[in-house]
Amino acid sequence: MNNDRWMAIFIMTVAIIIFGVTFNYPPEAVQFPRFLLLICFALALLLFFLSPPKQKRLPNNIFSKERLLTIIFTIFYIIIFPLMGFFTATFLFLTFFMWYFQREKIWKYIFISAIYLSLIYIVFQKFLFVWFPEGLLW
Amino acid sequence: MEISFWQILQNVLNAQNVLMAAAGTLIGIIFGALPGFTAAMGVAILLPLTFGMNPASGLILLGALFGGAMYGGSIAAILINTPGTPSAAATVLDGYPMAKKGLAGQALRESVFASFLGGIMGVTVLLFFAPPLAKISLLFGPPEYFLLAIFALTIIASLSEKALIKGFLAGVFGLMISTIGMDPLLGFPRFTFGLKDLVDGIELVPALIGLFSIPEVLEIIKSHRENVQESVVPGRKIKIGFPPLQHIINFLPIYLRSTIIGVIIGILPGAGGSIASFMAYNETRRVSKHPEKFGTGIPEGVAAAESANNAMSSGALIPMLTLGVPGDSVAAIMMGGLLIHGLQPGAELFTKNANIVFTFIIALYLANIMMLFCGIYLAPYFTIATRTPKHILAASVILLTVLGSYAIRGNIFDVYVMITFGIIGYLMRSFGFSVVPTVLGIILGTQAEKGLYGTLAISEGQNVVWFILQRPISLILILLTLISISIPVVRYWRGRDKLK
Repeated sequence: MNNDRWMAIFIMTVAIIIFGVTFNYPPEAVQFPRFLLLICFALALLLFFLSPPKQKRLPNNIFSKERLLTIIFTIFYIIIFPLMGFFTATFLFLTFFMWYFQREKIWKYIFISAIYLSLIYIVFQKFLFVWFPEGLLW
Repeated sequence: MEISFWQILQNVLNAQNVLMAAAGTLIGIIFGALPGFTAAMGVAILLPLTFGMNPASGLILLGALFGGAMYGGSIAAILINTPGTPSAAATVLDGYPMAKKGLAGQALRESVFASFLGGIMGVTVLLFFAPPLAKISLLFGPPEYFLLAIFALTIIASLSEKALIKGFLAGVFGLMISTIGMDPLLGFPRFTFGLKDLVDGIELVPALIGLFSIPEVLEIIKSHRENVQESVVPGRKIKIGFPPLQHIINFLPIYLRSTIIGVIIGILPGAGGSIASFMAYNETRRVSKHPEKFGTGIPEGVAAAESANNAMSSGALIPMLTLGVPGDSVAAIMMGGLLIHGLQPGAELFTKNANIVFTFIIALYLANIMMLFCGIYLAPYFTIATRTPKHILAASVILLTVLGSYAIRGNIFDVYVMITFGIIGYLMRSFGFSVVPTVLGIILGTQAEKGLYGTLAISEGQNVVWFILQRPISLILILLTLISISIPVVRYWRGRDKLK
């Protein structure tokens, strides 16, 4: 079965589940979402039947190592920055991310990270008065 | 509110606004010149920075960035055979062949001048057409706002002919996202799953930042091991200068025709710069005495594409400022900025807040002039930006997206929203769904729902369909919606018949 049909099945399943969730809410509050879910289900059904039976498969690097790692590093960075403090977490993230994807001398990336953080400090905290969480470190 | 031209001019020429016009233009050109970066990404990332500014300065920064990016894409298109932005895809067709023939300077001169003229003429259309159109919005009631939202979504979906159903699905997904939070009728929290941060709904700007920026980062990082792209001619050897007057007169029909096409395409929700530039290119080739020369490296091809894409940037602002329907993804993000400053698109913007909106529009003239001078004196040096290693670019963008999302409200939840929508946007693109209908759905969803309930309320028990059909503007919107749905459907069935 091709990707569009799998996507259609996924959408129909999610639509049914969310429609089920709407029974927990007052009917007047969910008229519009239910209307949308019905349209969504109908469109997914159309997508299922109208998608060509033979279709190119998706490129297999959609979840390539680089992309998955980028997402993981970013999520990890977002999790640690309220805990460690914005500047510490950002310094570690930038340095490690740049070094990991191009294994050159780490001093180069420490220098770039320091420049970035100085600019952010000046522009955001001194000029725009946007304050970042300090966390356990800084 | 009475305002005078001199008062507006004084506002435009105050130091902060001039600085914002310059900064926006330069940043926009750099974003545009970098393949993989888009105007939408630039505006999405910079939008949170504008919250601390006065509304006019913020809009000027973003508007100048928009115009700068539309032009900046042509630099990479001409010098490294890769459009810096999708809007510059048509510029590659003649721009790069010109550079290979040793005419890089002429190509760059043509692109900046065409962008400048297209931009200036587009802003003039915006200045004269937007205020009367805003007055028409006073005639809009709940049925019209509901139908306008549906029309805008069907237009965007129908533009992705080959994936019409996917376009509609993406739009419905955006509408569903807009239903998260309190419902407009009872104030009951829907789909919050116990998270108090969702009671007010999904914050628009982090969602936009995620949808437009994270997928680009994941594309950039995919090719981080490839060699950096070198210009076909070293920057220091390129001389640009101003075009001769005779050349401008000879090319005036091209500039005018392409500007009109660009503005019209810009007004259509979701059409975008790439459609504008290709349509203008094709039309110019069609009426040319030497159509066979297009694609071999002639300035007419560059002029057509660049006039259109810069004119489009002003066209896209017309429905955004007057009716609250963004004509383009960048206009959609700028509308987020308007709403956050408490400015409502429509007649009120051109009356109560006339000072702000006219300062913004007039400042776009200044931004276009700055773009012209940047292009003439600095264009070849912008290619230095294309030599930045991709892993550094990717890290920079991630940092800016996290920063921008957090800076809106100082709430870490907005950063979670950003990364969630970033992953959703990437998966959507990978499976052939455009994010533009989703963005429009998120923006217009509340308006659509309120319009629907408002229609049911004011119809007072009459048959709702009959009630709507008695309203002339609603009737026009229904007809336009049916036309926008039927054109791609007819094309699809004709295509199937031909195959048979």
